[in-house]
Amino acid sequence: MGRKGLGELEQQVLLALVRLGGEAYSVPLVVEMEERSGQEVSQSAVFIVLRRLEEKGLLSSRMEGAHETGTGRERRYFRLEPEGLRRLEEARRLFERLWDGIDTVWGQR
Amino acid sequence: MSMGGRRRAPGWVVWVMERLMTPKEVEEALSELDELHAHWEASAGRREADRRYRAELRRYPVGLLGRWLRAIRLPEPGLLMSGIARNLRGMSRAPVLTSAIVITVGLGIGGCTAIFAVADVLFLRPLPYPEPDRLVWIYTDNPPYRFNFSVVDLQALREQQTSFEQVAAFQTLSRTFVADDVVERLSVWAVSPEFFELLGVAPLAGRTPAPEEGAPGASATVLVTAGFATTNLGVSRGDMGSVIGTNVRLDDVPHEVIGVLPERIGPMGGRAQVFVTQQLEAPARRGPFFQRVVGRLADGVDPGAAAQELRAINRRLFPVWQSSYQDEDATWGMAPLGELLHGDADRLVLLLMGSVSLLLVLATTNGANLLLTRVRSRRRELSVRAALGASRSRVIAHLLAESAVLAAAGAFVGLVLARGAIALLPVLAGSYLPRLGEVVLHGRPLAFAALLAMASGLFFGLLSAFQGSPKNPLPGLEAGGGRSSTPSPGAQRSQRILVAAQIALAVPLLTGAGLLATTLRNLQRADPGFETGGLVTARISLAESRYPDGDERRQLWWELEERVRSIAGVLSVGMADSRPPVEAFNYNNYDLEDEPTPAGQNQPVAAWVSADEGYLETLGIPLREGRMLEEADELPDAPEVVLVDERWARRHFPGESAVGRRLREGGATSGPWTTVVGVVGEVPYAGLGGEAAGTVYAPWTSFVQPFLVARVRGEPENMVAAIREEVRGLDPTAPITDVETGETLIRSSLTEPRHLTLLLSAFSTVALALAVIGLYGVTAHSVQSRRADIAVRLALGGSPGRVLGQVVRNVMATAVVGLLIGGVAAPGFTRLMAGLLYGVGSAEPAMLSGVVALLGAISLAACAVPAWRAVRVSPGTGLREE
Repeated sequence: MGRKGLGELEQQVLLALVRLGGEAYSVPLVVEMEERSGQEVSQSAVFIVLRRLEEKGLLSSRMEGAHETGTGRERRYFRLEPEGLRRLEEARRLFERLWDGIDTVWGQR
Repeated sequence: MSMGGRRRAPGWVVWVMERLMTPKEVEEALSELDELHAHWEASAGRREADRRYRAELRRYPVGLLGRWLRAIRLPEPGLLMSGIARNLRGMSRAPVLTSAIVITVGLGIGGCTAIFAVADVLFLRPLPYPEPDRLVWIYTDNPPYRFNFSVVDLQALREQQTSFEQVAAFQTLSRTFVADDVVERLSVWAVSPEFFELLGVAPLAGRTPAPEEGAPGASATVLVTAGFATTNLGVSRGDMGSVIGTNVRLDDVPHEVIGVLPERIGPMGGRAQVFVTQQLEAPARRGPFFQRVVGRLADGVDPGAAAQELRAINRRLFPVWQSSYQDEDATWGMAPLGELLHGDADRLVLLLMGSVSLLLVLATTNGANLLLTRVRSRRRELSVRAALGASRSRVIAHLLAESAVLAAAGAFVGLVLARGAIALLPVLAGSYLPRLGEVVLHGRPLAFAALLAMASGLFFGLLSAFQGSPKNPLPGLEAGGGRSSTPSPGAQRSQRILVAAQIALAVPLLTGAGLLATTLRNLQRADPGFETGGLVTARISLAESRYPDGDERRQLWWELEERVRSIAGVLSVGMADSRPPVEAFNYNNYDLEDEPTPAGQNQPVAAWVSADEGYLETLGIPLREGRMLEEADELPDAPEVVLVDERWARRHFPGESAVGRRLREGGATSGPWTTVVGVVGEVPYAGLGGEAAGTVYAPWTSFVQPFLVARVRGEPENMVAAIREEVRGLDPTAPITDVETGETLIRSSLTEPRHLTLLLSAFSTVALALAVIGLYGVTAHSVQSRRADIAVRLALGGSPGRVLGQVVRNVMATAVVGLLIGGVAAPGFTRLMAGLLYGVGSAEPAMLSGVVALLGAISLAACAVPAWRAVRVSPGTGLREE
């Protein structure tokens, strides 16, 4: 099966994770994504995407117990893996190639 | 901030989440949402936080389903084939289970497909003629009745209408056909010359009738079907043209064959093979009403405008013929031609469709249930696979492939069954379902079968995939082994839901079957009003052309009766133009002297039986009041008298005597009165249990094709040959047909209710069996999984009765839920059969509660047996097995 590029939401999640220092659990991720985009971000979508990225090996996760978080809750922390970073950079290069020279074309209008 | 407390999520969302996520994931998702709620509350307020929380939860099911579907990747073709091969091997190891699923699903699909093929013809397929939506049936509209036209009506319609490209009329007759040594009575359609052109039917050879051939006095012409030409006229298939111009003798009149028609000219024409050109004499009055009329709307004419024109013509016609026809209320109306052909079959097909759909749902539910059992018993295998690295999607794909194979096999069985059913339909149901000749198994019905197969395959496939694919392989491995592993609570619950659904579905089917069986029994027990034992009856047909004179015919019949009466063993003989319970030759309108019908209102109508004095006596119809018919009444110049039956007497003169009352028949306003001289017992002519409006018996005996009735000693069948001999002695060309005994008259009139009862009983027996099997299975499993528990309790001195009671109570709760749901839903189904019942209502509470009680008792037995067997096991055995 051919490896497909990252989806838009996948990129957003990975980028937010980078901004949060490469490791975070989902709540701050959602908050960060909403603040950055100015739009509502679906928690369920992020929840599912995080697990999908983990299955693909772009992220890894670990549980943090209730006393470690100090909130009485367990939390699952996701960490960006080297493969994830690589795919993110790949996506950026693809994006830049796609946009390359577009300004010149537009400038001629 | 609400930290510890978990917010309540809607139950169904959690239910879906629990099925599509691991428990850990559910926990995490809900916990994170709680935390986000707190964040939203702080930043945007309580209301906004609540709104987002709810919206987010509702997004979960869709998102998760997307993830789940994405996970199902069909393996590469090679793997798929090997997977199917492995499935087939696996199925062959469980042949009983596999064939149980395949056969029940096949039955459901087959039944649904066959009935759908019929429904397809009736509801979806246009009539098989060019531009069928322009074809209409034109009739005298007298709600709720639709009557035929008289010749007067037909001629006025022809002359005055502008909305139709063509109008044509037809009536069905029977004619005697004599060829070499064969004397045959044929059902013949007499059609007006335009008939074939209007329908768009072209002859294979020859031509259709010319307009002038429909005029009185023109030479008689006929068209025959290719089948008739080959079997009866000795023409070879390739040489149809050679029959053109030859003569066919019908009722002793030579008819020139002018055309050969294709084998089937569609539903218009029924099973007739001979179509004579109808020649209409100039009418003397507006009646009798024998003409069925069809029209083809002119191109672009609005049906509403055409209907309006019909009413206008009738209004203009009314005053012209008022002396013979006073019914001012009746108008002319039109309807799509299909309504003429379908009659009330539509309702029947809907009922059958409803029944087989219930059966299919039941069969699929049953298949899912059996598959669940199988998947559960293979948990260990599936867990091993998962543990060995098969991804969840692979396991799911595997289970789906298995369901697909099962559904495909079920569809195959179903198609074979449907094919057989469609081939048998014309034989079984030809007398009450129209257009069966057009029913075929391709196109829509085939697509429908494929759809059903896919739907049922997907249904039990997804269900078993949900339940069977281990999210975590460990539980399946930890348990003692494949067979005695404890079903997960989720799987147990879905199995229970399925069993409850099966019981719920069985309730309406059983109730329907019970109602129809009661109807059949009521009809069989209904008093036919005449004595059936030792009765023999047959139709004898004269060629009117040979005996044009009524007196001559009366003499002939009188002579025949004398001869038959002298046969040893014949007790009495009579004749009439009708015979019970369904063959009324005529219905007539009349005006009562004491209760004249006000101008502009409909005159009463009753079955009008012309009979001789021996008919009532031979049938054993008792005299209640007045006198019977006498031979003198039959003479032409005798005073006009009639007998009436008790129903008629009650209808018009409740609580009074009907004898001596006078009436004028057929809408006549002048002429002598007819006097009622006697009241006799009631006999049905519109079917046992049919809506009867009373019967009038008139002494008139110049019959052309009467029924002879004879009461004999001994077996009636044995007398037929002797009677035939006497008829042959009088006129060797007069055929004897429709021979029936009293018993066969009753039996053949009940064909439709008997078939329906049989069908629904068969359906509901299957339904009952499936429900019982399902219930038994659930109990057996539940007992199996609690064996150790039961054994421990028994070992510690627990009473077997209490343990038993607990198990049974547990499973019966499921059955009771099913019974309740079924009981509430059943009246909706049985309402479909309102017109088919007799002596029992469609919402009969006694029947419904009886069915519920019966099902309850059977359910109890189905779960008590396995439970009892578990309790009987000695505690040691149960414990050792663990």
